[in-house]
Amino acid sequence: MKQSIIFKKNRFKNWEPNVSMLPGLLLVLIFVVIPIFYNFYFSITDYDGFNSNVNFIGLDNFKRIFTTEFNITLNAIKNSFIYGICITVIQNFLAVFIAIFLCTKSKFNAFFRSLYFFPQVLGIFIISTIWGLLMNPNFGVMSYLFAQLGLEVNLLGDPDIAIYSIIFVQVWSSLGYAMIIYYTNVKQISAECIEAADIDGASLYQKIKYIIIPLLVPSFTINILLSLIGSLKLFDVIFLMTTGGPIRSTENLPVLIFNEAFSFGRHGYASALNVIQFFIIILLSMVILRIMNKFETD
Amino acid sequence: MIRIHSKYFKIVLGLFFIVLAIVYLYPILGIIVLSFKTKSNYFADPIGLPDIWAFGNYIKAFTKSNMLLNLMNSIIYSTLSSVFIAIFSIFIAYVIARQRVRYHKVLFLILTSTLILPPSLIPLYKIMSALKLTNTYYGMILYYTGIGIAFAVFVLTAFIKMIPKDLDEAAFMDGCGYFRYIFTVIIPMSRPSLATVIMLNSLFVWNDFVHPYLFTTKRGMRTLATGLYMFKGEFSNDITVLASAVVMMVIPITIFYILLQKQITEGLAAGAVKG
Repeated sequence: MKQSIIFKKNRFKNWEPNVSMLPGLLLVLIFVVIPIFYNFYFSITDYDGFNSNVNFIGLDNFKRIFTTEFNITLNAIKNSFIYGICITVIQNFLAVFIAIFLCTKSKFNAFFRSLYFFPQVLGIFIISTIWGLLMNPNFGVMSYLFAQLGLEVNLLGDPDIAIYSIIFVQVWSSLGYAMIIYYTNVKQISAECIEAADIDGASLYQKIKYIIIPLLVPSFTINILLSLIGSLKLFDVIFLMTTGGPIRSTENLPVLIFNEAFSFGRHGYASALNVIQFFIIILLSMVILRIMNKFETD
Repeated sequence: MIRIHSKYFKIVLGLFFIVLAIVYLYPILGIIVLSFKTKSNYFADPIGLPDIWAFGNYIKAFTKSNMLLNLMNSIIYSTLSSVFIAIFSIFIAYVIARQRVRYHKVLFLILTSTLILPPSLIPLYKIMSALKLTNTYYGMILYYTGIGIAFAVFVLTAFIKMIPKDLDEAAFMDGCGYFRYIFTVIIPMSRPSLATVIMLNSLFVWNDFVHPYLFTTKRGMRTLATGLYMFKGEFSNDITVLASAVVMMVIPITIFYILLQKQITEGLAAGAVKG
């Protein structure tokens, strides 16, 4: 016991812990922390990416976001939320369903699981390229298939449809990830629990509703947080498949920010948009965590 | 284990999983079939199997793109950054897990909150070019190390907390130095979670697109992903050649997945649960 007290007393006095963290923390500071603050600074300037002559323009960027270019901002925020809500709902609903029913006794289940998970390994870049080729309006296979069925559908070229094509591709790619998290949780539910319900004559529906779903709450928290935050930050799949078009119908905040900064050279304006996105995401994750905490304690 | 008694429900479920499997298999198999077709064959019959299984597209895609160099770059960026992340993060994770500094709580809070925040690409671009890190190997490796540490610390801290504290005290009482202790005890003991961290980061870097797209403009510095993106721009009308380039890019990662399937799925799931 005495030794442990000595150890505790001295534990802050050593130089080693501080020094050992230095290289790692320095890199985090340069590439993660400083950029966040630097971003706030850029948002009140007219920085254009090349000119080193940067002028302070106060809150002009924010003023422009909410006045002259409000339609574009609003459209991007609206699309961000369409992505967020659609992807989160569809993905989690499907993933829970699949995770529960892939827990049955069948030799095919392992195959299905690894197949549905495969896109996670392929990565969103490859996935967007593959689906982009297939959905290409001029010579894609999907367009041809729809034409054979007598439907004139332009999956990526039609402003009303393009956003749903992207939601489909995103759900296709991240479904396996959500499924694996739910699946590991379903497997942890003790067999005795379900057997006891069997003996009491509970139906399948009752077992799912009263035993499995309540025990899945921790994975719901993780999955909903991950998929909502992830889909609000959705960038690669949109940029690679439509770059925000046609007529901004698939453009969300990250894509708008990227285009403003790196296509039109309006770095300051894009930084101001990034600040807004920053607060939206912080607020939302706090709200979700609050709600989920309530659920978990109930 | 859930048992399903109703026969009809079993059939409906089976059909559902098979249809879903087709939705997942079709694009992957479709792109492989596409890659073997000639251009005229494709326009005459977009869906069917190729008339002749020809390797012409592969040869064209391989010779016209810098694929070998891009592959080498991808390997360099992903492996070296993963190794650095593993070493740097274990020191931070150990300090946080054992509360060896007064600010351990603040440090952990800052690191974890950066995981949720959106990336600040604009200042990053400015910082990278100001420090002359664009278009260099060390620049890309340092960058990936920097943005990967927070998540790695998160996974490793949870793991180190499970290593008994008595071990620390025994070793320090016997006069084992701080760094020697971490290298000879903590690192060997956290091998499983270090493997997870390395694997997750390698996958991330391998599939990353935006950062190499912004930070490497020189042809020789591109990764497989950005190389393919540029190739897509040049050959946008040659859909069959593009398909073969995609297939070639997918092969290494598929082999990786088949060999390490269990570790990858478990690692990704564990990473998420701890994140």
